[in-house]
Amino acid sequence: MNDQNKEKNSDCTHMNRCQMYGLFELDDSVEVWKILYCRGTYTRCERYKMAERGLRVLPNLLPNGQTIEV
Amino acid sequence: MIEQFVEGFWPFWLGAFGLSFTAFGFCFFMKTPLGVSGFFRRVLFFRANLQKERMQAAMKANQASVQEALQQATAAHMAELSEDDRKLLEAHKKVPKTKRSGKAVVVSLSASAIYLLFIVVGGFVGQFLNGSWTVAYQPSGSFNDLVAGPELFIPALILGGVLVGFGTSMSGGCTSGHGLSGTARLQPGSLVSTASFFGTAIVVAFILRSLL
Repeated sequence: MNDQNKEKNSDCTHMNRCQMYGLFELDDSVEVWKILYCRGTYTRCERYKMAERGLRVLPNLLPNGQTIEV
Repeated sequence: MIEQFVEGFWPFWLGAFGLSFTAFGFCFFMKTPLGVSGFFRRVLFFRANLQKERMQAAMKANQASVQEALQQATAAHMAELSEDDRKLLEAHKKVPKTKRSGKAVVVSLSASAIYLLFIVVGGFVGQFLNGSWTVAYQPSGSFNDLVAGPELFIPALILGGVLVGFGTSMSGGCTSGHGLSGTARLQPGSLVSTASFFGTAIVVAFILRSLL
C-alpha cells in the first residue's frame, strides 16, 4: 500500500506511542498540529518519517522538523 | 525429579510453558510486548537513549514551560502556513479527543540492560546446574563434521551472528519479538517474519543433514 492510500481517512499509525501527540491532546490551542500532521496527511510528519526510517525520535521534535526548548 | 530437570534438555512442554509465561508475563506487567533485540538495540545505543530518557524526564518535570514553548512554536508555525494547509484547517472545525489504546510504554535503558544481563546469568546458571560447563571450541553432534576445528567453527559462529543481527535489524524484531510476542498478538508482519525464519531454518537443516 502506498503512502497516499495509507493516509486516506486514517490516523497516524504512531499516534499511540508518540509523546508529542500526548502534548497536543493536553491543550486545545495546539490542535492544529493534529489536523495538519496526525490525521490524513501524517506521512509528512518529521517524527513519523524518522521513526519509519528506524531513527531515534527526540521527544521535543515537532512534526514540522522544528524543536521546542526543554 | 530435580536431576531430570537439570541434566540434559528439559521436556519440550516445560520449555513452551516457560517461554509463553515469560512473554505473557512481560506484556502483562510491563504493558509492552517482549522483544530482546529491541532491548539489545537500546543498550547498544545507550548514549543516545540516555539523552532521550533525560529529555523525557525534563519534559515531564517542566510540563508547564514545555506547553508554553509548544504554544509559541504553534503560533510561529501558523504564521507561515501554506495555502493548502490553511484550507485543510478550515475544513476541520474541531478534532475530537482520540481514545488512545493505553499509555505508550517504552522499556527503560536500565530495565533493558537488566533483562539482557539476566539472559546471560540464566544461561550460566542452567549450565552450572547441568554440571556440563565447558568452553566449547567445537560444535556438538554431527555438525562437527561440517565445521570441524575452531578455525572453521569460530568464523561460522561470527558469520551466523552477523546474519542474525542483520536480519533482526531489517525485520524489526527477533525470535522473541516476532516469534513469541508478535505471533501471539496475530500481528501480520510477525506471522510473515516467523514463518520466514522458521521455514528457512527447516530448509537449511534438511540441506545440512543431507550433506552430513
